[in-house]
Amino acid sequence: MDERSDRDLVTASCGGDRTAYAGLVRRHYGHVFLVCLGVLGNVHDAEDVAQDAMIKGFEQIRQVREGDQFGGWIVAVARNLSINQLRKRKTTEKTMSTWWAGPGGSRVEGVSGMGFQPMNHRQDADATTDRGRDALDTGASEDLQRAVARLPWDLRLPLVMYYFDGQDVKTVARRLEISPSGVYLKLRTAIKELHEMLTAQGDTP
Amino acid sequence: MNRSCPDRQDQIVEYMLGALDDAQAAAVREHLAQCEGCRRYFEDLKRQGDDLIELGTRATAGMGVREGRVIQALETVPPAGRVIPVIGGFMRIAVAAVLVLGAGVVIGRLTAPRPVDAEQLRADLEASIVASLKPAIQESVLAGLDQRLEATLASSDTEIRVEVAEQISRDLRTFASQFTSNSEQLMDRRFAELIEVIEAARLTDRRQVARALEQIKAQTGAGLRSVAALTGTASTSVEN
Repeated sequence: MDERSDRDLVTASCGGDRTAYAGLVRRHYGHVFLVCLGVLGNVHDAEDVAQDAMIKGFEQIRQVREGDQFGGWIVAVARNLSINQLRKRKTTEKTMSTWWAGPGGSRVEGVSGMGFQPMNHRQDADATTDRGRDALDTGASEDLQRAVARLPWDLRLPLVMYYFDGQDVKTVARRLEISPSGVYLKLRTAIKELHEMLTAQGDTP
Repeated sequence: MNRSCPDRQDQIVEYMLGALDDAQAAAVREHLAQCEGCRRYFEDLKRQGDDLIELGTRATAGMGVREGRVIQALETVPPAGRVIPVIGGFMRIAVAAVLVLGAGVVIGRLTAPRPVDAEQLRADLEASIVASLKPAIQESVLAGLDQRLEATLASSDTEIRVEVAEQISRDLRTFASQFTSNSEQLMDRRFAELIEVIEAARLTDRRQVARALEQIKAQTGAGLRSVAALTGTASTSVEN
């Protein structure tokens, strides 16, 4: 891990120093990935969009006015890209939601443990790859995954940032640019909806 | 199974999240101690939270591999392009909007018709008209002058010819008249002089003839007398 500060790494990256930017990637990629995961609810899509966000960050790093703000800036870039991606696949996602939530639980083989959402065509193609193995393979928590996947993205995102990334409410609020009380409200709503869904499935955690 | 109190659920969730102050948290703890349904609800939420944390741990597993993929992908990405570092976000949009509006104003001013300057317009029109029509006018005027000159010359020529002819005729007549008059006078004078000369010559001749006749007469008388004398002597002699 590069010991230099974000400010120094950003300054070096502005000069085309890929090693410096690699240090920023190692430092911030986890947050970026989880933001993408929080919006998209799908590990594979989150990986793709997170990579796009980091590349875009390198291309546009001169837009960072203060090097110390790189973390918030790159998270905002990732969130916007994820929201755009979510809009693009809106129709497909609706179809897929109906698919695996339909009568008789008509799941496609391989859906279990492949992320927060039923497999789409890409996931099917990647089912045997390393990326597929990196995805959530939970078994017992499959219902929890599906419940999380069914949450609206604006509730799922703070939930993922709070529980998956271990961020406190103030940090989540700052990164999402909303008030802490707003974050509490979203977390409370998300937690209650998750509980209701899991209880309704008879699989109370 | 006892259910949780619906009106307590929000507080229980907030208690779990640590969002309550001390007094509110104490009130919730007191309620949980008394309500089995809410206590089970709280325990369920705590377990659900633990499962979410566990799910997040698995989700973030293998992050190093993902980071490696990203860094590898960055090798093919060209370095950042230069932008103005101090201008970003809203300011950049605002600057762009100002530039666009400014460009629009400038273009509008440049393309809008200017207020009419009558003097300038008149001068421009005059200069333009003069520049465009001057050669044509000059040519036209010259052509007109040529035509008029030719016409004038043609008419003048005729008039002059007639006039000259008349003048010549008049002059000739005058000359003839004067000449005739002068000639007659001169002729008269010459005739008179000639007559006088002739008369003088006749007179002279007459005088000379007279003198000759006188001389002849004289000579003839003398001869005759001589003859007579001679004749008379002879006769007397003869008589005698």
